[in-house]
Amino acid sequence: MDKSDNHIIKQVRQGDTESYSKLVKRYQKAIYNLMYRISQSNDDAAELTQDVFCKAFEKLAYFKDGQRFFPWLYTLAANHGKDWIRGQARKRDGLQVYSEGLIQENSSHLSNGIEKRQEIRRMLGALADLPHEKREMLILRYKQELSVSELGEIFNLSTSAVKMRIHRSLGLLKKFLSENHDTNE
Amino acid sequence: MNESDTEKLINRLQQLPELEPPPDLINKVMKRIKPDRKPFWQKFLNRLGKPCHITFKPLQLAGTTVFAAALFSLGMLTGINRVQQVSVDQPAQITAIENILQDPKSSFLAGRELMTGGLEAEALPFLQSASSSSPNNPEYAYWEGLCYQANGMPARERSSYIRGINASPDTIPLLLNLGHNFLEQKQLSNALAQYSKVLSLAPDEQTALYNKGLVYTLKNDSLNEITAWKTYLHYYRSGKKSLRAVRRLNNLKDFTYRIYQLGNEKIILHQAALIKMQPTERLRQEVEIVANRLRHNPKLQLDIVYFHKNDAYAARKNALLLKRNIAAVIGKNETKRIRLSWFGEKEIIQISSGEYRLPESLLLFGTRNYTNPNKSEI
Repeated sequence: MDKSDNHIIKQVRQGDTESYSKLVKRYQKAIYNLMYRISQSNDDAAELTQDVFCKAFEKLAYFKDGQRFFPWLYTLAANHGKDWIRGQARKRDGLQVYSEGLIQENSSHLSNGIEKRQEIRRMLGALADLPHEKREMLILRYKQELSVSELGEIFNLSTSAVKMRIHRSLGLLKKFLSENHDTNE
Repeated sequence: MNESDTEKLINRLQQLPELEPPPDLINKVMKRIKPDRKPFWQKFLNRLGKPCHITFKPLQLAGTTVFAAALFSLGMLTGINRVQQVSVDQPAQITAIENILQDPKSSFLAGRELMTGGLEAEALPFLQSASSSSPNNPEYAYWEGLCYQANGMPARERSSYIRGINASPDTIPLLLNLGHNFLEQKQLSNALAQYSKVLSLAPDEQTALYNKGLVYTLKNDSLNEITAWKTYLHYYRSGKKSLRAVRRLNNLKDFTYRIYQLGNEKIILHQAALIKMQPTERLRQEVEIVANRLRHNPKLQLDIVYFHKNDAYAARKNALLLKRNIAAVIGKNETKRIRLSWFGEKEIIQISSGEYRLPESLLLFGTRNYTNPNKSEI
């Protein structure tokens, strides 16, 4: 049976560093995908994900008992992503000008059906057009299946505010999708 | 939006594909967080045992003192600003700032340190003052330009660099940053000219090499872009920029270089040399790269797969030759870890534009599961 996050954290705090790998394994995909959405690059996302887990490890001492790990980790990751974006603005190697899209770099991960791929492409495009917070809310709610209260913890909002924003974000996403659909046809 | 629309949308969101993180991510994290196992007293003793020296640089000391004074004064001024507008009640601080601004070197040092501390707006008057007092100083021009960039003033940034270059035409950081400035403003030909100047002075300047490729990408000049990426890869074979250069090259249907996953590691090899198999220095270097991975990772099992359209014999010959070359470096015994395959057909790969068939190619992959049959487990 899988150990709970809090149980693993307890073990890590007691000196069992190796146990931390279980947490990395459990959440690496979600954090990697978040970092990809921020950086639009596989290599940067990999580096940023590593940084996030290392930072989280260093900060485990401040993790409160009974707190939920993923919202805490996600908040840390999102802040790290923001810092990275700020840092990128100062870097001058032109990398930010050039990034390859999800479909382009990972075509082999996706379905071969052209229609399916087009649909995914449209969906990703519409999601990318959403403001960062709205996009993340939808992904966390429906892709990562976080509860409304967990989202409230992450975004520092009441449950009713979260519900309202999700509703609005879905409406906006639908609008973007239909606009995109119109222009494609 | 009605309920069934919402449900459909949510369903589509749930079915969105997700990227798989790289396989070595957990290992890399764990490697980074492994605690330093030395007890603290040992570290302390080690430190005591090490010879120590103190260097005294009068200029540096003077600079630091000036900066400390500047920061202190600036801190005072900022503090005052928050409460009330600067009043004439603080003549000492104002005089301190004025003194710094009168001396170009002090202004420069104060400005630089403020920049380093992330206070770009506060740094600007100091760097402007240093530059206007010594307009021919390329270092001052460079930092003034950097500060303009940080403050989002690209035209002024450019002027600073140009002034610096006029005074000292071969200053690489100035030429490089002028190139970046042009690139950011999408003045691609100007950017290219600057990067080319940098490369004429320092042919292996990494950012100039990379950004040259980038400029050609933006210009849609694939022919020159291919050359640019190949030149970059000639000098740099590791790091994310190199991986990007190879991906870009491959998407342009040039497979001179390819990325291979050996165990947890991605390596870049000059595939063309490993297909031609001519006994050149290039081939020796490529073989050395693969052999080193095998040498440093005793559990690595290597699969060599050659493809040759309509000629399985040629593919087999290449596979055997590569194995023999690797054996010459790591020793024959170690070649048990190498498996060979060959195909008399094209290799099918995925690039950004879809499927692509390579008439001649090499596929290498390594898995970390080799157990030496001669070593019994205890």
